[in-house]
Formats: sequence, structure tokens, C-alpha cells
Amino acid sequence: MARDVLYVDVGSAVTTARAVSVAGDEVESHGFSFCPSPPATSDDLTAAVSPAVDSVMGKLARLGRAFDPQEIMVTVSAGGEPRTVCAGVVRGISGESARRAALSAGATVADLIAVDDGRQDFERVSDLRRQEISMVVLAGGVDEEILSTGRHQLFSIARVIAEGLPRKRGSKSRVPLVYAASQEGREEVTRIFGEGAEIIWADNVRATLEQENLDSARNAVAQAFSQGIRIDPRFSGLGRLGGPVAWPTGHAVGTGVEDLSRRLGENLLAISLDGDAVQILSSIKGVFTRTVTQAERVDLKGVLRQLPAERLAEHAADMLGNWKLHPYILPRTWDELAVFLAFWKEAVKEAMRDHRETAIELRGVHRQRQISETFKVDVAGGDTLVRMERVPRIIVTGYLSRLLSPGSLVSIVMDGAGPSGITAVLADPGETLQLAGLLSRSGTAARTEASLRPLAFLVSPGRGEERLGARRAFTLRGQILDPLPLKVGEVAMLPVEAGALDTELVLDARAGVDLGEGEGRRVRARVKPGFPVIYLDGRGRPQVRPDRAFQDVRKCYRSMRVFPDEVMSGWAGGRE
Amino acid sequence: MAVYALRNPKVTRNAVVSRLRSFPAVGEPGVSPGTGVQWDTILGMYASRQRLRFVRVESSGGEIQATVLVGEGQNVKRGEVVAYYSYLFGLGFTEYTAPCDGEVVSVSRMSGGISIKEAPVQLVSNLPGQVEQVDDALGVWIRSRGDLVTGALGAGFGRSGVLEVKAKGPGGEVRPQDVSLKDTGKVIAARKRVTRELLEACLKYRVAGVIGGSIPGEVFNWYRDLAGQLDWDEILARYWTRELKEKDAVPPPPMEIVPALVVTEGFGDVPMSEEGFGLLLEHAGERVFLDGGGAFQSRGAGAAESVPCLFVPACDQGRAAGEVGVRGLDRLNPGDRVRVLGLAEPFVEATVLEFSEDDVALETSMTVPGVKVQTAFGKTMWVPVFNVEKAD
Repeated sequence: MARDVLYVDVGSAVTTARAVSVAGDEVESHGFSFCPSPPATSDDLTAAVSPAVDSVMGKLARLGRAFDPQEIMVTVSAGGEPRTVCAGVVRGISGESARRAALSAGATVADLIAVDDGRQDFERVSDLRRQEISMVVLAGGVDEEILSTGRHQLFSIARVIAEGLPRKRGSKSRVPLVYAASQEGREEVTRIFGEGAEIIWADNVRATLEQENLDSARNAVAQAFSQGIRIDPRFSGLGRLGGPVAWPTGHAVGTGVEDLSRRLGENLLAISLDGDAVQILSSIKGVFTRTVTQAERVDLKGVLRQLPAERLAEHAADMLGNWKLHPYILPRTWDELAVFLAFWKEAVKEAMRDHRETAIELRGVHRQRQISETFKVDVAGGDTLVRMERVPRIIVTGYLSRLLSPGSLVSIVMDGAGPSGITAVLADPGETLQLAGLLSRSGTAARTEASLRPLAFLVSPGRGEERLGARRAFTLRGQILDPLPLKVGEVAMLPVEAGALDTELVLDARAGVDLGEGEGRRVRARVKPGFPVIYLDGRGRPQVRPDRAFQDVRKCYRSMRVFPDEVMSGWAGGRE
Repeated sequence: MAVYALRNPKVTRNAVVSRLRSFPAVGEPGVSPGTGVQWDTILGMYASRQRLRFVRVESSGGEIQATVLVGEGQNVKRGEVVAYYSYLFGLGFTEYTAPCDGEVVSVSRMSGGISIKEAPVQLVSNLPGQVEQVDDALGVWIRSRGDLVTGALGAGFGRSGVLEVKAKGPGGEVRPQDVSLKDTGKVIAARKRVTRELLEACLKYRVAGVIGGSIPGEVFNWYRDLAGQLDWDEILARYWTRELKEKDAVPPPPMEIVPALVVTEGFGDVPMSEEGFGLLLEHAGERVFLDGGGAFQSRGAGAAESVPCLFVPACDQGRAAGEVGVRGLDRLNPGDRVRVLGLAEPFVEATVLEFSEDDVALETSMTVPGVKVQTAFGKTMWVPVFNVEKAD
């Protein structure tokens, strides 16, 4: 029996209302509407909810579709909520674990307090009191024998937090503390915070140094947010929907990504383009990681390397500034679109850098290395889990995933995320991942993959591609290997023929190069139904040469047919 | 079908405004809620983040080569010469000055460093009104009534001065040569673009603040970094060397070294809106408060109280007034005046003509909810509803 569900996402740039019906594991979308969200500084962050809901109901009424929602589901990311400050004893060990727990719960992290953060206690207290946050997440210490010496740095940090804990918005009481630290320290921390403090107990994120267990802390953060939002005056408008439980959007998307990765049995990376921020969510080797990078961190130098014409570079600094002031605005002209794509490529690049540094193997663990691994550490103190050759599937979600053309989205993935090996790129224009994440809370395992839109297969030989050429990239049909037209320094587009489902893409890795199956090993991927095109990326890394950046970007766009020919000719001054 | 767009009021007249006069780091309020304050009232004391400041003088071989004029335990004033070094038989000469008021706590012969423990600095109100709230981590909130122009971006700290509208050129630009010593302590209004040369002239002549319509992106980045980093020594070396040679010259406190900058529209080369500039013309010659919003880096206080702005307090503080227009969402109707935001230009003023029941396809082949508008130049076009802001 299908049930009608109204799903509302209160985002920081856009508020979306979507009408869906859920029958078993099938989710069918009947229509959606979206409305610009009020700015983060507004008194009412839910002002766009009623217009969006009214609009989608109006659309369905015009179509003659009776829709009477039995359930209303809400996710929130407006204002960067839930905003947290994380704290730990050692920044790179328990501090990072606290941060990962908060991020995986859909939160943004405003500050990370630790013994080795280079500040004095009065500075930490002052900084904490200046934050506008929903909660503090505290981690530190293993579960046993931390009190053998009678004292522990965990309590020094706890005293700082007790002193600086800011007030809740619109209330005289202090924000809650999510305690995900040593079990042994609970009694002492209760004494430090006193009777009136609101402490939410969670399992220790690092009960032993060798293991990280984020689930309990992650749920505690999400629950604390869901309860806190009910008394937050900025979200009082949700009462008009009957006061449904609201979850952090990042938490819902994360659960959706984790479920999908588990079901497919493969590593997965999702890139959410949200208007004012980029979220990267990955499930690699069974480890889920989420990071958020604010769009305002985009650097002009990088943007200039992604532009197709010199004349666009003249005003790029002004355009970048205006975009940072109003990150929700959309490009109206081809020139603006070219600059807009350059911004987002750089934003994704920056976000991937953050993600690589966060998704790491645990620090603080004794590990035996082989001699050959000595110089292979990408991140000081912990190896990153994010090696693009290990990621066979990238999903683009967020509100831009339904506005930008497939070519534009793929170009953002190619130049921003830098995939390697054979990668399937899909879009999630219907916000299926977050809806699936919400449904999983009520025990429904939605079949997300059916609602994702296939965009393209990317064949990117990765490092050392200059020496790869066509002799190492093939299609395999039956027993016949056909070389692919992969040219050094160029991007080529191959339309997928109808009925090409028995075709496999094959990449022969050169000795010492790992394209996902181990050094020097062949990589194969079957062309899945629905993918309209294969892009062959034979460019080096970085993808554009600094002295010929404009030509390289134009050449890539021309191959991918992101812009019309006359626009491309205009940028080239009629020379190409 | 109802279409909604963002509302971002730029000009509010005769409204009650609450402004945070914030401490740059920790501070100690000297006033309590309900107290009436004037332009020059001292609101409290603050210390800089560093607490301990260092002056590094010429040294070699474990000995200080410069002549040190201060000893440990001695109190020094900001700008006071603490050491000098002459070289090439006296042909070359370097003076080392104290970056802050404070006490010399050590003079290291090995490193050539003079350590000065910073004395607390007075936070001046620069705004008449009534104290609404105090917080030693944040600052002092002052409630006042008057006219407000909200900026899109800014740099520098809260200052006050007599408003001088200098937009004389054809495009409303103020040239650097239009600024002189007569403008010291004034707030200068430019109609259009604020240039780097103009900001340098304002620094040189110790202007209190500048308000303009737009600014080139690179110039803004330069000035924002400068406002955050410039210390007494650097500003003296770069801009004020000659002017402040007199013995009776009083160096300003840290938050009054650089002129406050407020830009009302955004990046590029566009003029200030008619309403905004009209309000400035009305108040030319009056003392105004200008805040670049640079003192408060966190969102703790709420941006409405620390957003860059120019505020003109009313003479009669007792009269009833409205509230400040808040940012939010408004329903659009045909005939409404809107600002169409863009990347290449911060905005274009336009009038709403109609809406579409369905999404419209833009030139870039994006399909979005759209609004048909007519610009001030008569051009008609469909624009995404995300790019539309309802005008004041």
C-alpha cells in the first residue's frame, strides 16, 4: 500500500518541498517546488517553507493528482545548522574523532579545541563564548585507566568548556554538551559542569586507540539537534507543518550514501553542491566520512586556471566577490556560466582537499609499515582513504544537480574531484539519497539507485597518463578488444550506442600504476544501462597547463559540448 | 502562482537600531544596561589578542647594536621611540617605536627583542544612545534611533566623523586628490567606485571612514588584509611618518588606525542606489557612525548588529520610531521594483512584469522558476527568481 509523503528540506540557499509516494522499497516522486531560503542572519529561517509547500500542492492540483500526505519529513541545513564546537585532548587523535562524529551527524564544525591547539585557556574560553552554536561535542581519553595518575588533560578541556559554554539562541540556558569521551571520566565531568548543565552521554568515540566508534556520538548529535530545533525561534515556522521531527540534512544524505554503498558493495563518493557550501560524503572501505567546505574559501588563482577566455579573467575578482556575497544566484549568460563553473570546480577541488585530510586511517595507532611504503604517506600522521582509483561511482547531489546540464556537472566532477580509473558519474536531482536516509530511520530501505540519473562514464588513466595513450584503453565486446581513441592531453566524448550493454571498458595499467585493482593490473567495468556517454580524459595532472590554461579549458569544453560552438569561437576570438 | 524573492533592505529611516560595539578580543565593560552614552563615552577597556608585543631591534653576536632608550618595568606610550640605530657613520638612522601603550617586561640582548606587556585600551562609543546589553566576551550593545544605510561588505572598525559627500566627478567617483588634510577625522562618501588610490589618500590624511557604492575585488582584499594586520609601526612607516613627527601628536588607539570602509552594493564599478545616496546627501555635514564590521569575526552576536553600516542618529532620541527592516522573503507582484543580481554586475534595477506558471529556460539552457523584468534601460528579460531581490 503506497503512502503519500511530503518531504521538506530547509536548506541554506534553497528550500525544497517534494511530494512522493512510498510503496515498499519504491519511492515515486510526483513533483517538487523550490524557493530561495532567507539568509542565515534572518530571524525566521523557515520563511520559504510555506511558499514551497503551497507551490508544490498547487502544481499537483493543476495536474489533477490528489495528494494527501500521511507523513511529513523535514531536514534542515539552513544557517549551517547544526553548528557545533568540537573538543578533544589531542587535536589529531580525539579532537579529530570528535570532529568526524559531528560532521557525520550532519553538523558544521565552527572550532576545534584541544590541548595542543596553540591557545591559552582564556583565549579558548573567549573564543567559545563568541560562538553561536547548537552544542559542544567532547571526546578524549580511552575507557580504562585514565585516572591512574589522578588527573587527565580531559578535565582541563572540560573546565574550559564549562567556563565558556555559550547560551542557546532565545534562551538563558547553556547549549548542551555531547560527551563522547572516556567512560571513567563521566563522574568528574558531571562535577565540573555542575547540576544545571545538559550533558548528553554517548559511547566513547575512541574507547581504545585502535578503534573509532562514531555511531553513538553521531546519533546523539542528531538527536540533540532534533530536540533543540523545537525551541529555536528561527525554526518556529516548522510548527505550521504540525511540528514534525527535523533531522540534519547532512545526516540524512550520509545515511543514504552509507546504505547505498553497503547495498552495492562498492566504494562511493557523493558531492553535494548546495549553493553556499560543498559537502563531500564518502563510504570507502566501509568507513563513512562527511566534510563541509564553505564556498567562500574559493581562491581567485585557481579560478583563473579554469576560465576559457582571457577577457573573462579581467573581471574574475569582482565576479568571485559578488558570488561570495550571493552564492545562491544563478548564471544568466554563457559568460557568467563559464565563470560559475570555474568557481564550482575550485570549490569542489578545495572540498576534496579537506575530505582527503579528514577521511584518514586512524592516528595514534601503532602500525607496521613496509619499507616500500615509507614515502607513500599523503597526509602527515595518517594515510588518506580517498584514492580516486578506489572510487568507481560518484554521485552529484544538491540543488545545483538538477539545474546544471549533464555536461556542466561532469566537467565539475572531472576538474574538481579528479577521478582516476573508470568512474560512473550519476546525478541525484530528486534528493533521493536524503529521502532514503530519512526512510531508513523508519525501517524502509528505499531503492535509491533506480532514481539516480546516469550522466557519464569517465575513463581517466590517472597519473602517468602521458605514456598511456590508446594502446592501454579498450572496449571489450565478446573476445574482441577495440582501442579507445584516448589522446594525450585531450578529452574525447564517445556516445554509448544503444544495445552496448555487453560492452566492457578496459584499462591496462602500466607497471607501478594502480588504477584500482592493484599496481600494474587491468581494470574492467561493464557499461551499465542508461549511461548516454563515455568521456575519455587523457589530460595530465594538473589538467590544464599554466601557460596555456585558456586553450586547454576551451579544448575540454569543446569536446564535452558544454557551450555552443559560436560561444566557444567568440571566446577564442574567431581563431579556433 | 505566488512567487517569492529575497528582501534585503539597504536603507531604513527613523528606526531603532541596536549596534554591537565589540571588543576585538577580551574586554571589560565600564557601563551597565540602561546607561545613556554620547559620541565620546568610554564603554570599557580591551586588550589585544597578543597581550605581549615585541619590538625587534638591530643585534648581532649576542649584543644589541641599537641604542635602547627604555628599561624593564618602564611604561611606554604607543608610538614612543624605544630604541634607535644609526649606521654608515650616522648617515642612516632607524627608529624603533612602541606598537602599544604598556610596560616593558624584558629586553633580550641575545635576540634583540624588547617585550612590551600591552596596557588595556579604551573602547570609545562613537555612537550616542542607550546601553542595551553588555558582555565581556563580546562587547556593548547600544540602542539608538536614526537613519541606517546597510553595507554589503566592509572593513575596519566602528568610527565616527562629520559626513562629507565628495562625489563630484561625472561617475560619482572621488579622486585621491579630492582628499586633503582638511578631511582628517571626517567620513567621506563616494557615489560610485572606491579605488585603492583613494583608500591610500584616506589612510594618509587620517580620514575616519569611507562609504561608496562598489569596489574592485582585488582592492577590497588588499584593504581588508591591511585593516586586520596594520599596526602602529607599519602605519607610521607607510603613511604618517611626516605628519606625526610633532611631539604633541597623539597616536590613535588600535581600532582607529585605519579608516572604516563600507561598500553598499558589491564588487565591480556600479553606483550606490538612489535611496542610499539620497540619504547621505540629506545628512551631509552631520556627525555619523560608520562601522566596517571588522571587529567582530564570529557570528555570535547576530549579523544584524555587526553588519557594515552607516548610521545617522536622530537629534531627538525620544520620538517613536519603526523597526529596522529585516532581511527575509517577500511575495513579488507585477510592478514591484527589484534588483536583479548578477556575477558581472552586483545588480541592475528593474521592474517586475510577469511570472511563469512553469519553469523558464534561460540562455544557458538552465530551467528555473523565472521572473520577467524590465530594466531601467528598457531591456526586457527573464531572470531566475534566485537572482531577484525586492528593492526597498
